[in-house]
Amino acid sequence: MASGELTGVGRRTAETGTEPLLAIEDLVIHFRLYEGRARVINGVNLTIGRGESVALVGETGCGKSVTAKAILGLLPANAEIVSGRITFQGRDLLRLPAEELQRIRGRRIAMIFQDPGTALNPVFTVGDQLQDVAAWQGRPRAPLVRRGDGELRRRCLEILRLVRIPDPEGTFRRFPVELSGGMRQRVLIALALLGGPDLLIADELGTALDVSIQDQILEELRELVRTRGLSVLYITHNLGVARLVSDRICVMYGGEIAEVAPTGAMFTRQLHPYAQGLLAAVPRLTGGVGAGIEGRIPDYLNPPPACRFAPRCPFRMDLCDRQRPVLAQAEPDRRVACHLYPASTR
Amino acid sequence: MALLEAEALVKHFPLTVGLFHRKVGDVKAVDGVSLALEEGRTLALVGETGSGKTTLGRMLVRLLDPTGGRIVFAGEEITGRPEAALRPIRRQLQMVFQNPASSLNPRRRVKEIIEEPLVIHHVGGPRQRLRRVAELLERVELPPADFLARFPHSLSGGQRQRVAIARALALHPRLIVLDEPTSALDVSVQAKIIALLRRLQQEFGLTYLFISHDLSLVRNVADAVAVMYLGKIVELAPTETLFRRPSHPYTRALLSAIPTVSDEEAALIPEKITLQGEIPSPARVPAGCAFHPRCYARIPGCERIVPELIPVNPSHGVRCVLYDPLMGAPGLPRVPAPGSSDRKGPPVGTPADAHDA
Amino acid sequence: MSEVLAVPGHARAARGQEWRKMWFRFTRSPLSVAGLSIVVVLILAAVLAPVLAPYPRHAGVFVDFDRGLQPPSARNWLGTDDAGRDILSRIIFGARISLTLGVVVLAIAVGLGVPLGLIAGYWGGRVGDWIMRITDVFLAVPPIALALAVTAALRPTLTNAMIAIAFAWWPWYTRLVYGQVLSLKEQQFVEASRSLGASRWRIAFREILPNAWSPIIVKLTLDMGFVILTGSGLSFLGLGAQPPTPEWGTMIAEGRTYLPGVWWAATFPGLAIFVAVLGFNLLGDGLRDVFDVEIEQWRAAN
Repeated sequence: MASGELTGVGRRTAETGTEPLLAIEDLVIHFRLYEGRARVINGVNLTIGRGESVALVGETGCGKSVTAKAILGLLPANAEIVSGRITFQGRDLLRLPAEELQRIRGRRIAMIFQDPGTALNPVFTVGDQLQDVAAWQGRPRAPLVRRGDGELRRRCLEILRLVRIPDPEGTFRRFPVELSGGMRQRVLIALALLGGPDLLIADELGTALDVSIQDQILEELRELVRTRGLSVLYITHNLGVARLVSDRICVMYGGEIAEVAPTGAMFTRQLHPYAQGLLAAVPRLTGGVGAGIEGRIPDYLNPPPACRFAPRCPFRMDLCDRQRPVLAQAEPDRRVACHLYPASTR
Repeated sequence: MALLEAEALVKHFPLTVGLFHRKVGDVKAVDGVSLALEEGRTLALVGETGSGKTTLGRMLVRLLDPTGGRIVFAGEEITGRPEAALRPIRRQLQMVFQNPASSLNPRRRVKEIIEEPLVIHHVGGPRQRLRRVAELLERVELPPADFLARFPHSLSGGQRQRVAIARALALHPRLIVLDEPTSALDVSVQAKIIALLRRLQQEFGLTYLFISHDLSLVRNVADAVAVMYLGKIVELAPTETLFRRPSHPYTRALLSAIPTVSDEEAALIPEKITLQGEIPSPARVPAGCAFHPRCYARIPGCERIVPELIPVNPSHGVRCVLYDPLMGAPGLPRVPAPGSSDRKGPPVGTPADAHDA
Repeated sequence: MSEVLAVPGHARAARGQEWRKMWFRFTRSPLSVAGLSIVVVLILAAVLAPVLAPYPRHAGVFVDFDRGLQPPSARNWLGTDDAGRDILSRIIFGARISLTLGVVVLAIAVGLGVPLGLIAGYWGGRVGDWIMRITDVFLAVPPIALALAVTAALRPTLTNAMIAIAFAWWPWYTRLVYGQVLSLKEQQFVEASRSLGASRWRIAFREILPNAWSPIIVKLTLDMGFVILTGSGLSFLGLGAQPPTPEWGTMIAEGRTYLPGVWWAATFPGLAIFVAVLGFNLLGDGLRDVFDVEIEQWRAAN
């Protein structure tokens, strides 16, 4: 079950020189709130190669969902992208005109939403929703009346079969409320695959499902991703899931990337104190659970001046409050943002 | 003596159609559960959707009335008692709910939330209550000065859950049912809440019924585990035994499905078991063994025979035909006496005089 | 985002902070502020009528036929009516009457309707069914028609008009609260209270009701305008306040016969009604916008 099996197409990462499919560089996002300016995302660097599965792991409030929404341009009105770039297939998504972004969203990059219970519109059948998405395909305006298109229907049924829905015809006619959680999640995956995307963003996939169903779905998705050579960004707070599905893991804390490493390496040994604490806090089936991490997530309205984890860090030094550690290569194939490693102190 | 015993508990919800509420069937949420909780120990109820664990938990604190069966608390039967007679029992049986955000009244301050049980049961005057609330806040590691006047929405998830725990402790309960107390929390916060719960158990000799879907968590919290599926217990064993020698096919499948963070854990179930199909609804429980449609170890006959919970060991029960060629169960296994589980350190002392103040 | 804001700061927890935040949001909408200003002016007019009115005695029994039907002038800013009474003063005193009417009617409506809705929603069962069916019957009859029927049966006075309108108004509150209670009753904090042994009365009134206030307050505010309108309508028809009471509706009835030549006697009271209803509507809308955000945030956090 080692995640190394997942590789194959596109194992090479940005480190070794192949151009990445998606590259987030120094992304800074602030939110304008009544209480002031929340400096949520504070310089995020992330790359995803072709055919690579990357997990963005972090706890509540670390900014992982904000990052994902930034990629797709789905941030709320009070969000301000202060600086940074998100390069996708050579183009900066943050500077694209709205029309261009529309063409990419749903077609080249697709999101699999979190809660199968609410992400599907309850008053339309599954078939309607699938065909709507299939018909739209990135045009600025969706046709008001859908052409009674046999081709469209065939494609949608095909996708339903692909995500292993046992009765595609029947499901096509049903309303979301008639389906089980697992089936709905599969429909959400199908919706994401309709446009034939190159990059999938899976937001907390399976969190709302029972573990036996989640297991099924993750395995099936892994298989699909492998056969189609897709790139995936898995957003999750569950380290076990990240270990199962990804080639590479980025641990995020306080709006910054703390550590990046290949999956196997990350679980054998962690460099960043937060990653260490996080992994230690996961209860083991073999017995043993760590002590958790003292303190709370930073106050984004008034964040720590330099390293955002410093107030909670057992290895805190003076330097950590004066200078921000840079995400830099500490070992071959591993990057970390921590002053314990000289590369981060520039 | 067991602090809490449940005998053949059943909870069926009627399924009705039409204007006149004609009954067409039953949702068999809990379908014949018997268990016993020793004082000072922690029993975990594990299961997925439709297993009935939440319904069972609510029945045990008498939020729901059983359709059948008995509940005996500290030697007294509490099934079928009217609300007024239940009042004194309620002080000893408390519950901590899953979602800390919605289990606290958003319009009340922390002080009012925690003192509510004291007010309802007319314990002490305003000054004593305030003292007690402050004391409870300290016990759950929230400095009273900072937290007394706060509203739930200004607290983090972990802090809210601590407030919920403080509320549950207010009346010196003997048993606390914890319904997924940490599943809405981040893992680093979860570890601290679990540590808190353990500490409190030691300090006050509390008995816990820990309801969870998370087997890895349960491994580190419980003395014994009951695995439930569609309203029945399918396996009941001391923690160590369940994880070293999981016997029921469903238990093995569950363990195999958990995304683990280390290879040692993955080695517990060497063969990867992926269950097919969906979990059936408790309104349409499959005939025979409820698990048989999804069971990879199914044999002919499983769709007809309803297996009993058979003790493969004095303390380990499995509800599966594979473990007993004969029909008929000689007896029910109980949660083990202290000493048989090596999860925790020294055994808890006598609980009876652990309450003070 | 709630996690982001949940971080330390005792100040943030203070109720005062909450009010300030709501005020800030409220003042972002100029229309809401306009509504609030109008309502404040009305209240001031009602409270300080004897001080503000240029001719306080004109509000009661007073005649001066020499000065009857004078157009607006420096002496009488809004002119005089057929009995020579200063219209401005009468309008100011009319505010007192209208607001009293509104407050009394709504107090009765809320006092009756809210507990009924609470009981119907929380207890449910046959009691709930009966309450809601009776409510449905009352709701099926248009408020004015009901009020008309009641005042026709009793003597036409202002007091009876108040009773009549309250009679027509309470079912709306019952239904509103009923819906709220149905959804609130499933919340976990209600379950938590039950598990603690709280009695049903305690839960209904101390746990659920405080969480249901927001829509009630919004509705109250919006209703003030409509109640005033209904009251004036009844008075206009002669079934409410009787002359010489300076009620706006009565004043319109009195001045109506002189239209269109002597336009001021009927128009200014009509404008007063218009402005009052507008003010309460704008205020109510503003309040709803502010409360809605709160509710949304709370829901998002759960």
